Amino acid sequence: MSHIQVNAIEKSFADTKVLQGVQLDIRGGEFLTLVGPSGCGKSTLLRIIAGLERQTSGDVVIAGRNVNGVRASERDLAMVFQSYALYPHLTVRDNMMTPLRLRDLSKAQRTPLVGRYLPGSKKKLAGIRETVEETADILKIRELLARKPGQLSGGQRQRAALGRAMVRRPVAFLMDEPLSNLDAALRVHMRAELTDLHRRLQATFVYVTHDQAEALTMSSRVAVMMDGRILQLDTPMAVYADPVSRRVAEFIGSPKINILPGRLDSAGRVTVLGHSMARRITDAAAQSVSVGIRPEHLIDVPTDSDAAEYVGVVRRLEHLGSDLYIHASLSDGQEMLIIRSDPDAAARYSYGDPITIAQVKGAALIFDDKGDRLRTAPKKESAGDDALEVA
Amino acid sequence: MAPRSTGYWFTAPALTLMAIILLLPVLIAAGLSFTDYSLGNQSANWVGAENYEKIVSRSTYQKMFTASIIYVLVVVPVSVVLGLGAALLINSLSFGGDLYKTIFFLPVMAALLAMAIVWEFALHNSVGIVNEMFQAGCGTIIEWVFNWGWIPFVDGSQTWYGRNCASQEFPLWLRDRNYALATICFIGIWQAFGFNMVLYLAGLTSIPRELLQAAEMDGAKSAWERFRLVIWPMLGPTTVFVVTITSIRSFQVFDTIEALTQGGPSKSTYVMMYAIYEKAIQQNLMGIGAAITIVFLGFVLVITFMQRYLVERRVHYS
Amino acid sequence: MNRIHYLGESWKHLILILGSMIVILPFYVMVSFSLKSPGQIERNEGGFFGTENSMVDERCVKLREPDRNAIAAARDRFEGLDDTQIYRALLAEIETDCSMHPIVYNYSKAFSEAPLLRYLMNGVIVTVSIFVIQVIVALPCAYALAKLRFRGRGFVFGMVIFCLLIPVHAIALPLYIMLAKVGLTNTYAALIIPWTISVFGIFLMRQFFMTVPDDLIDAARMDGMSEFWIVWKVMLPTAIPALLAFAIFSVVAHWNDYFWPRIVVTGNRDLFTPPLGLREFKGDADGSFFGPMMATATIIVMPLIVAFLLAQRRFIEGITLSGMK
Repeated sequence: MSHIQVNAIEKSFADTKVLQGVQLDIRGGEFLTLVGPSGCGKSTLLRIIAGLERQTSGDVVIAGRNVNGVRASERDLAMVFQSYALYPHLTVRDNMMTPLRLRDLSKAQRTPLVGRYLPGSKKKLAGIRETVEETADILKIRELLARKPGQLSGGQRQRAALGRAMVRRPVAFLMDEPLSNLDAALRVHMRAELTDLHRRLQATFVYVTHDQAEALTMSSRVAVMMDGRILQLDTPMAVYADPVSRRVAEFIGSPKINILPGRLDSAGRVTVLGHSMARRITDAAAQSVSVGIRPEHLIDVPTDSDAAEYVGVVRRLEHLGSDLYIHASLSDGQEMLIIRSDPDAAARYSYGDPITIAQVKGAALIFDDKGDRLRTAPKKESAGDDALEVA
Repeated sequence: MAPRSTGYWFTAPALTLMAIILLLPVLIAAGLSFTDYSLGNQSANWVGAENYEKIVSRSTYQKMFTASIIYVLVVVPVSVVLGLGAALLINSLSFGGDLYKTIFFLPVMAALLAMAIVWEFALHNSVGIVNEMFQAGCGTIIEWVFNWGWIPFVDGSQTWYGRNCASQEFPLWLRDRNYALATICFIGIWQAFGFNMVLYLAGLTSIPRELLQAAEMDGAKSAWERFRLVIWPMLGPTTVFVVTITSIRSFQVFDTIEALTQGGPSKSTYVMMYAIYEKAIQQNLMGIGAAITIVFLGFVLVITFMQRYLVERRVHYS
Repeated sequence: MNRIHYLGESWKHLILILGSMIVILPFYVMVSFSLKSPGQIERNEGGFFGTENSMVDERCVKLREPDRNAIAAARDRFEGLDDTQIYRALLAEIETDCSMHPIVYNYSKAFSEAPLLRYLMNGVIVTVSIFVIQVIVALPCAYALAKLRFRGRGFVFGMVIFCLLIPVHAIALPLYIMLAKVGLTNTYAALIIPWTISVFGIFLMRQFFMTVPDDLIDAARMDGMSEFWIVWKVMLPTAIPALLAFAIFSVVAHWNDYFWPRIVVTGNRDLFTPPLGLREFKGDADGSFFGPMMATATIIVMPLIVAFLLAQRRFIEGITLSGMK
């Protein structure tokens, strides 16, 4: 199985360091997503793997072969570009045939006009044609083969670009934000299709996106990148429920995780807005901390409830049909919390109403003043399981 | 909303001028081409198609068409290919490209008439720098390079440079009927290719980078393959435009001819615009001048319609 | 790695440098000849700048050649010399008077032999008038075509597209006849009138105005501005970049134009544009006038070249405007 290794890659453009020592092992057959805010270096990393950009230092190893000096065209990778980059003057069929023509036909056989009459050309071309049609069937674009890219819709172009990448059966597929030019509905649909395609081809996908929803829904593993580094590389679940730092926690998840200021004493007890948390931090010095609580781990409870931990005022109700997000300002007026509730709750609250909020025990994520995660002492039910229930 | 009449007020001056300055003259030329009109005469005689018959049959006019068509057929392809070549070279440089671009564009800015006169000096037999340089090259490595004797099966002493070196005589260029048109063509190319180069450079920068990278990913390894797969097709619209405008301009060549050869020697450079000038303005033969004008307009229309056809036939790129 | 890269590039530089030399050659000849004395031009020496510090203007000497009276008048100054010797002495004096640096000679001759200043003035008058009238005619029309709704708009635009097909040079002959019939040949009007309508300018400005948001015009209308003032106070300022490019396009074309002035101005030197003046110069020039003639050519070509070197990007934009359709 193919396997891509990225070792200590650094890249600088003039004075700015775009990548600072990226280490990444891509397993054969996995769907790995590089996700991060724009400017984090994820596209640059992908283009370095592709060979379109040269790293300042470090190695790229593809299937055991160091490809540092190898050109993009000889790395046997296929790429799907954000703009699809289909050849506008060629039909979809010719677009899809291009990589095979360039690989399978000899130079002489590729000469314009006469090349196709050379011995062997005909047979090879017939083979190429067949491959293209098979691929087109998989992508359900057979009826589009005779059209030119200009006559296709965004989704159809997307498929044609995928087809051009697929025909060659490359070591890996590299995708640079391939869905960002599609409208919202189509994007959700294409997510499912890409996942299916990945399962079907059993090939390695390296996928770059800034959209954490894409990362979470499609990937086998997600690499969260910021400022030229990979902060966390793990399964989507783990990245969501068990982030290594406050930045990861804040980037992954929508709506954003609630962050409250807290205090950690030398005994490992965390206090937030006057409440002590149930779990203790193992070996840590006293310091101010931030406490992250996902909206689904906050519950609105009756005023007199024993579980009540925070009191606030409803500022905004965000109705999404299946869910209701309540934005509440806490009594000190500074902090805002987002609480996920069921739609029925809308009947109970309106703007300015008081609200009492409880928190799912053990679900809070504690970060130290540098933003690193502080682990709590293990309990029977771990934070991860809680997250699984609701995620 | 503006009152409706505003539209008429605003377009009226332009419309009037278009009618008087552009359309009316075409009609007048068409009408006069069937007469023997000359300025100063009160009336003119209707001569039917006689002017056109002359254009078709007389050897002067045959020479005129030959000169015009050769000029266009030489200047257009050469200046387009040179423009494209220069643009590709400059575009691939990591430094210095802007300097070459500036230099190659200089002839476009300079008054062609002035530069034609300077070329005449450069090509002058006694004070000209060109023949002097050719002569200086004789007997040196330059002769060896340019008599092509190093190419297999080429006899260096029988090539152009070899022979001229041997006789120590270089052509009179503009005064030699065998060289005059070629020399005029050369000046035309010298003047035009920088313009084409700039248009091609603009075309090159508008090729999306992702497309070139896609070609690289698809396995287009050599520069030639990327050129064939992406660059040349993407420059298609630029090429159509460049060829059209260079053709129309080449058909209109006048300055160099009037200043340097006056159509000669022995009518070898007698192009259409010069013929119109000589017949109508100098000899006051308005009828025949008008007929040439109409034929000329015909050529221009054919070229333009060919361009429109080519542009429209292309499916809109993305 | 980098070294190999530069090596790979050096052949490209070689080709481009050879090309540049051919392109620059006439400019080199032009400027170089304008700096040299006739003798050095004739003998092809002196490099680019010429080496002589002073030369004798033969014509000047000939004009002032001492005759009998001059010799008689000079007898007092040259006591004890016979006539031949006086003649020689006088001639020597005149020669020092008539000697000057070749550059001074060439450039002063350029202005004194022909009214070059007048030609340059004419060039400015003609190009500026043409451009101003073109804008006055084209802007309202382009605005109407882009932003106003009226019956016949399609027809007017169709006319513009059709007229784009007609090169003015091609219909020079009937235009000349028309101007001759109304007695306008050999006037400034004749030099300007055929160019007053620039269909290309209309087309270009219309395309540009299409991109101006309607809201801007509606806001001006709400403020009570009349359509006339909208064109000049709202649309004109937004169109400055496009107009600038068009100005360069127009000025370069008409400053350098030779064909039309040649046809319509005959003999009257007061109306000569710079290219006509240079052509006239060439017509009467004998061998010794290469220098002044090249000086004239340099003076005519330089304004645009210098402007181009100062604002390259704008000029290239302007000249290639027609390619951006």
